[in-house]
Amino acid sequence: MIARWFYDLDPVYNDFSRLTDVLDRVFDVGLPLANIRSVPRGTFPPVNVQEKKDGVAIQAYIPGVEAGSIEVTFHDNALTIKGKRETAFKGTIHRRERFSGDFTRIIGLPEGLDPDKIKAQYRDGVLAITIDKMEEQKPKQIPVKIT
Amino acid sequence: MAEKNEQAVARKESDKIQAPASGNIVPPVDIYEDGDVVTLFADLPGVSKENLDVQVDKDTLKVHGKRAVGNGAEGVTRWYDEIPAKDFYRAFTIGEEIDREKITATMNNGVLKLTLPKTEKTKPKRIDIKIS
Repeated sequence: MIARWFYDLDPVYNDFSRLTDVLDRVFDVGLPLANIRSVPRGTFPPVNVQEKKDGVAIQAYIPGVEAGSIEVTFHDNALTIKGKRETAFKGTIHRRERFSGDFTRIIGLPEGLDPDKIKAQYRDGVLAITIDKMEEQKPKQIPVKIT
Repeated sequence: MAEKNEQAVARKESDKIQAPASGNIVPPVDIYEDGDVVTLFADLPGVSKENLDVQVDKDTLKVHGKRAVGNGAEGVTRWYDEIPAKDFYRAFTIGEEIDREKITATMNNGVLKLTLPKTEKTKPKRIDIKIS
């Protein structure tokens, strides 16, 4: 009740609230293609995605798993990375910050990617995936003739 | 006894140590203590054995994982950048109980495992009680 009262009376707070409300709405709708900073802390695995001229490159940071245990699927423009990581060790736990357990991460990608041209490689705890664009999506150089 | 064990554990981040560069990523760690050995695991994805630097300076243990910077190629649009191209760095304070000479490090699939054994004199000794 008091908060509501302040909200209505204070013009600065009011404007600021409206701004954050708008921003929240803008970035929430876009899931999973959300803003760079909108990923909650502790999301596992963290990913980097870049769009290049002829495709997209995805790096998923999944240290400490076996390459064969990661399940990667691409369906309806969504890339799913699934797996399990066990971090348990013997002894008294003094600190436990590393992710442990099952994980799934779905990354929404735009249309025009070729599902037959996906490559995945796991090295030093990084799963690197590349997906090529369909031929017609690639930028083409058009030669200009002098007449 | 419990208090003594507590001291042996590398548990405190040191603010005395200057990080090599501003804006490093602090890697998550797990620390376990089992009898006479403390084991530390750190997630350092993308860091190869060659790019890892583990140092012990007096009572400070420093872990520095260099990463290949340079994914800022031209014509690239970044959609997600949750792990920016920065180094991993973290420092810990270790107690006197840790035997500096016997610390070992292994790197496997981007996970650093540090084994920190305690010195002989701090190991718990078993005293046999004779029944006479």
